[in-house]
Amino acid sequence: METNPFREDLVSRLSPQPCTIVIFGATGDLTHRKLVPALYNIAADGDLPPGVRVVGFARRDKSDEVFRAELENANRKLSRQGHHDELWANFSRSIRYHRSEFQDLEGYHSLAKLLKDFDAQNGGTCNRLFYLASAPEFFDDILLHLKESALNEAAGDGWSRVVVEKPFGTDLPTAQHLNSVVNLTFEESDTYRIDHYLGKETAQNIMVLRFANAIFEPLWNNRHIDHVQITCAENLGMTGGRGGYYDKSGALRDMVQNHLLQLLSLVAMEQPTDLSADGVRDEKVKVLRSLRRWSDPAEVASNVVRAQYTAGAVDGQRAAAYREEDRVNPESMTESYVALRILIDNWRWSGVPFYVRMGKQLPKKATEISVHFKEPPPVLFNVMPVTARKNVLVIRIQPEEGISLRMLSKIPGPALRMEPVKMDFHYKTSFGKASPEAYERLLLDAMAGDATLFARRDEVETAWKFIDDIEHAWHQSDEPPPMAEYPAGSWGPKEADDLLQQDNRVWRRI
Amino acid sequence: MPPDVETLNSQELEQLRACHLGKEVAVADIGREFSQLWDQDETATRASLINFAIYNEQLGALLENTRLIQEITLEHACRALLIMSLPGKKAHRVRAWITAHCQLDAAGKKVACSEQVAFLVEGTDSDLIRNIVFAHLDSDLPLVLWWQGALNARFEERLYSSVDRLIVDSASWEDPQAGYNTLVSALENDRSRFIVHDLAWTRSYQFRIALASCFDDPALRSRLSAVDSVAMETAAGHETAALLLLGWLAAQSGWSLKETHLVSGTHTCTFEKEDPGTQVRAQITAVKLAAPLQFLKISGGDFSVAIKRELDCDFLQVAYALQDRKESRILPAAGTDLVDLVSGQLMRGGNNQLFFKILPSFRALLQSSDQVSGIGD
Repeated sequence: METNPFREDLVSRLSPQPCTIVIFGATGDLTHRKLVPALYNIAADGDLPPGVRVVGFARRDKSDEVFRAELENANRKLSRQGHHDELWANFSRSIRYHRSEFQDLEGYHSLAKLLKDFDAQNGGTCNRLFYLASAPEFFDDILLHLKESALNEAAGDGWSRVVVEKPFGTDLPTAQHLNSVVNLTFEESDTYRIDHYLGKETAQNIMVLRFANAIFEPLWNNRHIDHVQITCAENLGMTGGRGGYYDKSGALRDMVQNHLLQLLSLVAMEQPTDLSADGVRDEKVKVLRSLRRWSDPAEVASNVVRAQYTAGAVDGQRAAAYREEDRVNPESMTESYVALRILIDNWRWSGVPFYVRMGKQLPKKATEISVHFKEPPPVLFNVMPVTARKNVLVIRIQPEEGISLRMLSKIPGPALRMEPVKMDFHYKTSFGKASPEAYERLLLDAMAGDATLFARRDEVETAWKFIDDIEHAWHQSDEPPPMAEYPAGSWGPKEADDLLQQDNRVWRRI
Repeated sequence: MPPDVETLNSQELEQLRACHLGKEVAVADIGREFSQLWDQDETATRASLINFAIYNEQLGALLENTRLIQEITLEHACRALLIMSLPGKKAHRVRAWITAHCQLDAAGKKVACSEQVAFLVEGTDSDLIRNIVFAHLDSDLPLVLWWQGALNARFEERLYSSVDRLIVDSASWEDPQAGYNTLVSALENDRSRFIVHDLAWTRSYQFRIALASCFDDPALRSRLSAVDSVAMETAAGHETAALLLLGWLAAQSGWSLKETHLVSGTHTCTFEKEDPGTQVRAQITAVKLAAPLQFLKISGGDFSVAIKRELDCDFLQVAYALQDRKESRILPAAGTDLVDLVSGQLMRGGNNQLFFKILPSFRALLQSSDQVSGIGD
């Protein structure tokens, strides 16, 4: 098909294509809070292609009108650009509700008929984007029924794609099972595993920072970098009934396996040969394959700290201990905090530890990457005492998205004294316009067929191999590493500080 | 909005300037005065991504441009240099005022401020204007120059060769063809490196987006070679925006201009398509009280696409028909005031290759419409 000549130079990205988006689990939180507001904002920006329709597939009985009204309510509260009645009226005309049990094949046949009607109205366009936003236990049923009803098959010049929400399994065998069911139904090239962290502007900016600037890449190796820290801190506990899900998952599986290892891959990857989806993902998966794995519990214990919060105070309020939280097992052995010393066995990063930590009920909400450069040689100015000698490049993922660089400067005055100063770049002050939500970018990419910001099967499975070694040591060994404790509202357990102390390093103050 | 300055006496004008432009300072002291301003302030950040110079030769421009900059800096932190030149004055004199435009956070605290220097230059002196710009730039940041009004003798090589982006508005030119001749000469100068943004072209952006989105539909795209008619409506005074849009359509579709007529404000053009012997007939009608671009319709064979913008409406109405199938929807239409146009253009940036690509077909339209204007009228 010829390219659209009127698209030239209008946008520097692949164009989203007209399609019908079918959301499984359409009555859930994700649809109301993220997906539909994202689609509405894409429409408000004028980027939604004509002919896009949205079909909500869920079990509850309701009419199109009720479904639209519920979505409108949510959009009024959550839309990034506010809610405009006229625009919503125009956008919501394309929304339909399709009631069916996920296990009921008949529901898929009737869905197929509905989509065929849309295709006829669209003059033959038959692109389909299936979005699995349901609870993960239904993924198998949905995928198999999509296959049985032939909805997975692209017709004519169209395409049929699937977007899979995390978790991508709970360990390697379940991930492999999910992936095999997905790939039984859809080609890997039509599979989009969504990790919303990769849709964040600052995560995307990591590659730009590294590969669009001449000054960083020459220093981006073990000759100049001492270590890297990746922190994801949350100041929330198990509010809103999250304890039930979280207690089965834990910090390592919930955040490290996907989001934080993805960030680590972006920081550590070699330069890709091109910016195609596979060009980028080939390099990311090489990093994951190079992660040093630990074969016994003692090695895990010396490189990984797990912990649960005890009672404390957060944001000026008393906070209960993890085991006292709603829907959490009082004898739970699920970690609400994890810290890891990760080594990457390749030429670039040999000997450079990546310290990764994630915790609930920490003092503040912050996700950031800090690259700590080596100390200069101890000559000239560098024999004088200073509080912080190393240069540190900080990439703030959220909140206060931006980049800062710490360096030493002379304090004005006749005496020669130095102190660290910070050069700071804030997205907010440099680019006044609010960044699009991660889901907006990712939905546009899925409609355009650009999988760069989505995880590939081998990435997911390689990450699980690394995580499973730790989980096995914790839950299946005779001498499991201990569960440490930290008061809610503190920066984690003493053992996590010791992990860095052993290497004569400290966690960056956030 | 500042009052009509031409109705004010000199004392009232001075009061107005003092109120809007900030502190009057000696030109040589601008840097020191800014330092003192920041010393007295608890503002967290003095922010600047670009040097943004605005040049104008109209009385009252400093006040109006201060208002524009105040809004533009909400999205584009910059060092703003506002220059109002009054070349008709005999005495050579420069006066300067400094102020800052601050973004406020939810609590009303200043979080980032952009500096503004306003210059009133009396007398014809290109050297003086150039020096004012060069002496007050933030180092290492790109220079965006918004030249308001006709490109005259003050728009000279040593000035524009230092400019990274040039913003003009051909809708404000009395003679767009002469303006474009000057502009193209400057672009072709070996020392030029600026990217040009004509706000008349920017005004067509949402129409181009809307049209492109219709032709994302493969069924419609396959009919592109069947286009045989184009109709446009534009506000009187904004004909260049319509000609730019038509030039773009022609360049992107491979049409070459054969003939043009202008009768009672209506341009009629005939293009020959790549397929020999097939033609496209285009008509541009200027109407009063309309959005700068009000209507575009493309049709041929079994399809038509129509895009409409009502005056003062925030949306474009887009409709297309293909055989029995009919689609309609609304798309956002960016604001048409100068702040919206300039902010949107700065946000998009880019190297404007498409604009250079369509320039030959646009200039052919401009030239022919100019040549025939005497006949038609």
